[in-house]
Amino acid sequence: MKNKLQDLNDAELVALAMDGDISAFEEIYDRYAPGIAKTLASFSGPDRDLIDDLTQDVFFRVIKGLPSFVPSHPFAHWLYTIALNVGRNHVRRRQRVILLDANEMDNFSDHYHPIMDLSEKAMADEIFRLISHLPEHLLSVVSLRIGSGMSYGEISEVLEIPEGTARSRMHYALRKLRTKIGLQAPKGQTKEEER
Amino acid sequence: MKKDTGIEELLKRHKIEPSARVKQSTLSQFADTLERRGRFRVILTLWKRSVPVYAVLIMIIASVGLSFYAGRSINRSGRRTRFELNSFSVQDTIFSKEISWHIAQADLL
Repeated sequence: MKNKLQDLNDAELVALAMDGDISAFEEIYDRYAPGIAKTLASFSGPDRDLIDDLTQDVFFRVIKGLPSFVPSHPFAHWLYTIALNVGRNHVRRRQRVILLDANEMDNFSDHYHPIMDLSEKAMADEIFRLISHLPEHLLSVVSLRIGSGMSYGEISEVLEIPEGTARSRMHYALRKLRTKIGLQAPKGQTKEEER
Repeated sequence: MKKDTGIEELLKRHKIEPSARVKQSTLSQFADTLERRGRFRVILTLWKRSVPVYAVLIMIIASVGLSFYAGRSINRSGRRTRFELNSFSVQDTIFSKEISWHIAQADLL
């Protein structure tokens, strides 16, 4: 049964779930939960409890909104749009809290975060923490690219921006990150320093 | 400074799985929603099926009400007509009596 469900596409699974098939919904969850969690990690940072809460929020919204889902649209786009909204809401809530302490407002290009000595997992966690402080327009592109593995074409459809804009935002975000963690010399650094 | 080994690749490799608690609560929420939707569907079906009955009942009540109202109105206007006819006949009698009186007066003169 489980194998059968794995062969079905999203639209078929959604139709089954709408008819009350819990295992079809479970398959949807298994298929998308890791990607959604990773997308949300871009907004929340590496805090696992927070990622859990946000992921749960996304799927609760999916359950609520499933009857209004239009089957002619790709399910993944709809799902990741919900995830982006949840992520953005989280960032706005966090900003309201952080604004009380101006020092916490991390000016992204101010300091290096030397993370190369960390293990790969710790490094990834640290990068997720840094990503979560990117400006919102960059954050959306990065989160989709990393979380869902979508192509730039798909990202441009979900975010309703031109494909070139998605590419340049990703490029710009990565450059900011590299500068931040010291993988690449920021402007004004000498070649010796770079080596 | 080290060279970039690919932030994007590193993050794509990095696995983040939501905990089992999330899956469990999501599935139980889905089951609850299905149950609620099921109940709502039953109520909706019952309502849809009983709509013709309600429609007929409303029609019967409306027609009985209208007939009653119309009957009462006709009855009232009939009574008023009878009253007016009676008052005309009384006036008529008085008038004829007055005429007779005037004729009698004239005869006497």
